[in-house]
Amino acid sequence: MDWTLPLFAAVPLFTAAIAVLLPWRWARDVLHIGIPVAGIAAGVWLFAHTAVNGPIAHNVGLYVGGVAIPFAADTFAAIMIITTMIVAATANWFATISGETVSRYYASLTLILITGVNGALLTADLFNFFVFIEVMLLPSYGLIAMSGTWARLAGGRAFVLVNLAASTLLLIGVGVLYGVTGSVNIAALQGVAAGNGPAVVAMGLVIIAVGAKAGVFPVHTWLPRTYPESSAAVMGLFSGLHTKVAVYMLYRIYVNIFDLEDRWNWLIIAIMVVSMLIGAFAGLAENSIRRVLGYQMINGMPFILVMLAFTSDDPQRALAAGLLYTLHHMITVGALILTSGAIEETYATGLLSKLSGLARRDPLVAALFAAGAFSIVGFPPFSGMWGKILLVFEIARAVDWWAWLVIAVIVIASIGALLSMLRVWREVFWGKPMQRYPKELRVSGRLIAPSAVLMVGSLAMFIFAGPLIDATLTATEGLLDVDGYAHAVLGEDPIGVPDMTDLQGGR
Amino acid sequence: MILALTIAILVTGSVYLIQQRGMVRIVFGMSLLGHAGNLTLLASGVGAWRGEPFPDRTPLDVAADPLPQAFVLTAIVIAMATTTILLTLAALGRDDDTDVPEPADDNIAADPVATLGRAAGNGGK
Repeated sequence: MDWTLPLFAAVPLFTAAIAVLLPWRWARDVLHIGIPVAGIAAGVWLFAHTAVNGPIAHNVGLYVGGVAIPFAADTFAAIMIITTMIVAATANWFATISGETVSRYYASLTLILITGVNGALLTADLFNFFVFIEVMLLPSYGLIAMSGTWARLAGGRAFVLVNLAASTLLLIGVGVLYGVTGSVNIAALQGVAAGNGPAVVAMGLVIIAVGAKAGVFPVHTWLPRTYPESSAAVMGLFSGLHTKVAVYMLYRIYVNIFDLEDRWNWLIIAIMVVSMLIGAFAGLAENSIRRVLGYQMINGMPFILVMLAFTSDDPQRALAAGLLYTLHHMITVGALILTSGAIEETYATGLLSKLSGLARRDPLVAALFAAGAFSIVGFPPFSGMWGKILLVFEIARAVDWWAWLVIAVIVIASIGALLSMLRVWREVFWGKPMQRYPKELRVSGRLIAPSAVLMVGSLAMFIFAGPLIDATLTATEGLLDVDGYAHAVLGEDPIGVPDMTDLQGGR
Repeated sequence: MILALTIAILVTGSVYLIQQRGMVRIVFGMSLLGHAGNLTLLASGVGAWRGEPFPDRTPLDVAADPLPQAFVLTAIVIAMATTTILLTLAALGRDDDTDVPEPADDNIAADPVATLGRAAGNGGK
């Protein structure tokens, strides 16, 4: 069944071409919601298939393993596809409701974005990863600047420049890696950077570039300055797709190419601890709902990535905790952004200073926002609680002082997130009723339906945590099966697999 | 050596230009950075082998590695597309000044019932 893998990228791409030709808005709406929904189904099938059969791979053009540019999938890639497609479908649904799709090209641009995401999640070749990242970013440049208000244009410029610079660095890193090892195939590069070879320097460039795209300290500052300037639908789309593809690749690179080496643990922990604190407390100084949420995205990323430093005892469970937090974070932040979008679509502003008293005016919106805030801080009954509990349990396996440091910072960062959300709650939902809007103006039920669906998903992730944790364990089992992955990608008799024993001083 | 120096000069120029305020200068800076990246890719196909990568014209032990050249070709195409988008962003809006007063989103609420979604249809108000 490996021939299906290129379809994950090909189907949205061809649909994008169809969508740009269709003159009817309803038909484009059907396509840009239908394709992600179909992607969810395909992802579920892929998960079931790879859980039984192990990793699968397809060499496009059927070239010999090692030369070919392969697509590869395991349970880890499949579970990421399912969740990204859920967020994409709801964000596109919100775009349809909020009138974003009046613009004829919205559907095509999101479909090309989905092409890039699926391609980046399934490719087993680092240069092809760069290409798919560009496929993701080019429509994003259009989406972020599409509606053309001055603020979005300024945000769009910063977004393009930062991402372009990071992509160039990624390209240089991949090039240097090829110069050093002679391969850019993730399976062929298995364990290459474990040890003190020059490959570490090349992979370091790649990691910095992917880290910039993930929004990790110290290369995070662009994210809360650009995402909130786009519309809520687009920000919802980006929050679930862009940064999480980068997180996926960091996991994949660290497991396959760095072989979960422990000599970088101190660096991972140091960077992630600072990143947690900045993400948690910097949001307190922001002036609009979605800017606060932008810092919650910065806050979530290190919770996921810090697990790479705690894999020495039980890598499967440690990475599964990080993965569970990823899934929770995508769903919850998506719900919060779309709730904020519903408020902005109705009251034409997301500024904390201009909104007040929404708890009386729109109790349902207030309930949704409170639910999202509970989830992101880590209170029951939402997915965030299991996410954070599992993180803390897995970190506590390492009985060292740095484990306690990280746990303490997680707790402090959660309090920071709580303060940020409380501030939004006090400014927007409490306070005097607003005078400058018509009395009968309310957030319509249609606008909050997408975020309500995502919050129900978060609630379901809390209630059905057992099966979900089993699924994440299956996913990380697939991720850690590097030999199965290499066998699927390279086949029986690969050529061009680098021999690192005599490379510039060896290991 | 000449290749390394060229890359160094290109990166220096690009860093200088990217730090300027006008968007068009930043676009030129990004363009230089892209070229520096392309030359780095070319350098990664081991520098000692510089012959044409055609087996019937060049002995294989002096032929260049064609794969980095293919990388560069792909990267050039992508860089050209992004330069087009950057120039479009420079041309849109009031001017190409990238210095935006904070908060940048204060100006969207001039009309209390104009929403972001509806504004998307009429070219943005």
